[in-house]
Amino acid sequence: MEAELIHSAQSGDRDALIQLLREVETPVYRTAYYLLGNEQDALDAAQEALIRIYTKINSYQEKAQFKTWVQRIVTNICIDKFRKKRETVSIDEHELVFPAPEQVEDILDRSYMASDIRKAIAQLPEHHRMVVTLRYLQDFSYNEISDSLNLPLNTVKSYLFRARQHLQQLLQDYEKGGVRG
Amino acid sequence: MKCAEVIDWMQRELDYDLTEFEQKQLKEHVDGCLECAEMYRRLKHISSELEMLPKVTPAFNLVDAILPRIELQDGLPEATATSESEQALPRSSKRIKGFSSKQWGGIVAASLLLAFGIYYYSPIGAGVDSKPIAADTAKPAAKVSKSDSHQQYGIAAMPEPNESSESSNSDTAKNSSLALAAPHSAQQDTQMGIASSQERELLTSPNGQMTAFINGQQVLVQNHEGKTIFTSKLWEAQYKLSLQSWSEDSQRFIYLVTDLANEQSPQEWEIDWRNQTESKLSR
Repeated sequence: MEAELIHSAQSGDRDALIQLLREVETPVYRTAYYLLGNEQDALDAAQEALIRIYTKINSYQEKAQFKTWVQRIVTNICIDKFRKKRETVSIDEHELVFPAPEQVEDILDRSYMASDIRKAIAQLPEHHRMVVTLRYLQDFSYNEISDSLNLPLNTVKSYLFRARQHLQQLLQDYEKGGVRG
Repeated sequence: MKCAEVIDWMQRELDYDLTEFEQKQLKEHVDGCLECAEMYRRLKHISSELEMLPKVTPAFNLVDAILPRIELQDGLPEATATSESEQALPRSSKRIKGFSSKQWGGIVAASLLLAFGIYYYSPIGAGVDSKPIAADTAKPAAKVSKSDSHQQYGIAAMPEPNESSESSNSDTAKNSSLALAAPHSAQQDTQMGIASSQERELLTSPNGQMTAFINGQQVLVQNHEGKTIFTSKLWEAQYKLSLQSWSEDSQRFIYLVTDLANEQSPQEWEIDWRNQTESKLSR
């Protein structure tokens, strides 16, 4: 089904391409939301990603899964946004990786209760956050994450394991009441 | 088995990556090691928390929101449609096979003008008492339903690709004559000095070549041919956009963004259409 749609889209069938975009809209947004940590940036990034899928559909090759190709596009856009944010908010290297709690509060969407786990995710280094998002929000396997992020399989595992280890440490700190800055 | 090795296995178990034999060995170790049992409990807790993260969905239909942009983009110069970040992705041809993109861009731009043209034209001319749909900037994007989204973005008049070129051409001609009414009214606005933001839906540059207007939750700048040369970022429904002023050299255009959710003074955003950038002005 999806393969047919892709094929039609690549042959210039605009309706097929639009339908394809509709099918990936939610997964694209979800990744952007958890990577960027707030709704407004996620909406911007997701729209940018959809436009890029639209313009680049002919560069998709069947040897990759479509869903991993799509996730690669949205994660690339989010990486770009991290960098831009970094340039505008001049903070030092340490704070970049572990933003202070008040910054985390800022980053997190106010329309949702900022649970501990969300706060903790926002504190993960970008690559760890990406791996966690693809594993838990997209239900991707190690291989699919590796394809999406263009990372070796072992690196994917190592990032994911370290991310969970880091998250459990952060949650333990929250439980004790002392949050790391 | 060493504890460090066991932790690796715990992690793999969370991703369903252990064989039955490995699972058994892991269980044996954890049953006899308090520290590892505690770590396993915590990791499993984290993993189940992550599995329960809300499956968020966008507040409005994103594809409908980008349709006008992707259609307009087909008629824009390449520089505006690309970004440096694409380096990480395989590059290939920009245009989609089967689309005559320039033609599309022209038709869409003309249709947009038609929508705005009707808005400005009707009260003076034909006396049509229709509500201005395309220029209704206050309508939140989140509430756009599938059926009215095309009207919202003023592309209702866009012909289907299969329609004969003859009819599209005559439509386009009609559109441009109607659209002529629009810059005229903008000219009057500028002459009259500062009008309230509600009244100013369209502003012509001092050299008369460029027109800025609000379309949905975006500000568009068109040249004298009616071609869109700049599209601002797409603002969320909570922001109210209003047009402010052109720079004397007609190169930069300032618009105001009011956050309806927060009672703060509006932000000024400046579009530099020549450099294809927009940025917030700091005060």
